Amino acid sequence: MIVDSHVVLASDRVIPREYLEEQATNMHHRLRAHGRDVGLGPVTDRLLALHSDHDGDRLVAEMDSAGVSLAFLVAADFSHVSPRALPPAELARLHAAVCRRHPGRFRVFWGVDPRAGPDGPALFERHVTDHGFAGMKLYPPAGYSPSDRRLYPYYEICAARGLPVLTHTGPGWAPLDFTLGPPLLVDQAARDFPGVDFVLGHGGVTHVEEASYLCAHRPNVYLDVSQFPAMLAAEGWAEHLNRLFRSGISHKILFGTCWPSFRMSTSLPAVLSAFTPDAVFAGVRPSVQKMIMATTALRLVGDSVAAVTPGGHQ
Amino acid sequence: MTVDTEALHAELIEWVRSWNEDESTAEVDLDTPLLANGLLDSMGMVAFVSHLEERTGKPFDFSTYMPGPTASIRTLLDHCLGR
Repeated sequence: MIVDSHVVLASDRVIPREYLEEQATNMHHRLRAHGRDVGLGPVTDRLLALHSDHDGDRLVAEMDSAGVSLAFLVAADFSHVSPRALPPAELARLHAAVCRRHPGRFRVFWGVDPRAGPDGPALFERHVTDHGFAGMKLYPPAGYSPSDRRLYPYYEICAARGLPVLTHTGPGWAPLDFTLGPPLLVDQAARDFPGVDFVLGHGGVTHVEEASYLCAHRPNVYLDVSQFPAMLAAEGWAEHLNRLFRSGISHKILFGTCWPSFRMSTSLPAVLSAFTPDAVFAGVRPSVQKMIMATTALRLVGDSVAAVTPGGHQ
Repeated sequence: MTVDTEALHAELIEWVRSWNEDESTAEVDLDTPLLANGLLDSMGMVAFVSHLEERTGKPFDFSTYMPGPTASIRTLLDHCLGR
């Protein structure tokens, strides 16, 4: 089975519209630098049109085509940095509705922000209880460190309830602060909360060396490889992943894609078609493949492989 | 906008060759897998689709197109033209 441990709802209700517009501007800039006089408007329109899958139907259709049984749906809280972002409670309701619509296909990592104030942790815990959310999502480039002391009450909840924390690393949406992307910023929190598992989102793609040594030396730190279809690698992402999977931290690696970030050039079934014994998995033992593609992620959220079948649970 | 399909086919083949600065050894025809053969990368795909939209006057709907290694000039053009 395959678990995609990092997907995002392709919806401009989840990703603020101005972030998508900035992404289109960056693509437009790149094309113009290569002498292609492509209009910014059409590129922006195409990107925005892709982000209209508010109920997750297109995502589930691609998961079905790719053989992905389950995905971790990641809902970052941008409400403190974008006037267009959904308020947290509404974001929670939207993701809970997607889970109800597609039973057994998603586990939600709900986004918090340390600026939520004293009511924030209780709200987080309530959503976990009410909606069955599986973990906590942090997006530090929104303006905080993952070791910010204001997050510690949240970590205490995660420790008590066995919830993993997925924290974004590396660059992010253009209007935000990339200086808060290095994986090492999670180190203090990981030391202070040894009972909480931290996953470095995109850690297998950016800041790879830093993320890898954290994984190697901190028992409660993991990384995912999401965003690999769009990574910068002269030799290509398949070769990069193959090397990473053969490194000594394979027990700390989660497969993930960051769908729909690459959706204008490729698709979930297309990228998964390279996960074969003569490409991404060359020299990677079958037991290690299973850990990367599913079992480590399931263990972090407390699921068993047998429990995860389409229609099985929310 | 009226599209002369035959002329457009030839033009699109030439576009892909030009994108590769005539350095690719892969043969390019209407059915050549563009991504699998390395003829288009992610940026090339965006540029190619933008060119398709410009030439056909029709928007390319990515939400109903699942790009993959077998994407070719023909499949991309057909999708753009709603065939």
